[in-house]
Amino acid sequence: MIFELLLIVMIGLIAVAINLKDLVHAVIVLASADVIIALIFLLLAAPDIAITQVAIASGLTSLIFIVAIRKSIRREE
Amino acid sequence: MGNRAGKAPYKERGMMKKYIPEKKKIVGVLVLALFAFVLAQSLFFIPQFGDLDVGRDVSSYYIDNSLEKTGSANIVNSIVWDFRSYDTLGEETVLFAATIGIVLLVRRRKI
Amino acid sequence: MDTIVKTTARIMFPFILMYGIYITLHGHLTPGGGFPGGVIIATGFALLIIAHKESRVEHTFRQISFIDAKSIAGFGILLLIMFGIFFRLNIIQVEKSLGILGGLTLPSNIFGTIMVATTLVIIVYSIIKE
Repeated sequence: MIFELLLIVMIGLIAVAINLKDLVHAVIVLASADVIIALIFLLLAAPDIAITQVAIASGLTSLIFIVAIRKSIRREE
Repeated sequence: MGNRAGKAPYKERGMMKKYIPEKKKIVGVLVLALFAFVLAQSLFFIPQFGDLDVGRDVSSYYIDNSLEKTGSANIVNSIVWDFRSYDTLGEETVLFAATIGIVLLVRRRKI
Repeated sequence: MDTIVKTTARIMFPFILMYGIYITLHGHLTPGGGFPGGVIIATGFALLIIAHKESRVEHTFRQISFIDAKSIAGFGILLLIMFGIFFRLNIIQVEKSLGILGGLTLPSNIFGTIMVATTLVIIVYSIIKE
């Protein structure tokens, strides 16, 4: 029951992130979607993977995305 | 610059093949649908979360013997770095290969 | 980047480093281990690399060689595994004499962390440099 709710919230967040025009805002929304996946890992009793998921998805890939956005356009359309 | 909404310029001279023709798209979608249908059949064989068949799994050996044979209370760590450390060694080899590949890509001609 | 980002990165760097080392060293007692600790240390370094301008980053990277550290750590892991097989060190005597130290798991965690952290720092630096 709680898994379905969390997954629907995640799909809603990703749908919002696709339609945003400012790319830095979209990166932040995608990072929060990865935090929801880490929450699902915690609910399935796997704390090691939850720590790794938060560190990689919300830390490192967001930084690399921001570096890539800096070298190209910031506001699409 | 040409007719992009119509048929694909498949064999025009001097122009790279940029568009996938309609026939190949339909065949691709059909193959993907068949593959997804075959893979979804395996969803009926997954056991419930927390179900354990003790007589058949090797996990009970890991749980019973982790503390006295390895000296670490974290069973995941003792599995990754001690009972199955060869797999971790292979993973580090993959990390090495990735680093070598990236360093080769960004190397300049004159250091 | 801005002055605010530079100052914040410089202030946050020792705390991130300390948290990563904490997760690594307690790998045999609490959840965590080698891989998350390495990723967190790499995130701390990546923050510094992105916040400063390129000439200063290049000047710092000429003095530290990350590929040498990675090779030493990789060789260390190989040596540990060969050592463990040869002496069959996961037997009771080692654990009872060393107490709370984790046997052979603790050096393996440290080497694994060094390898993951140096790999990710090399990758982030290569992306910035182009």
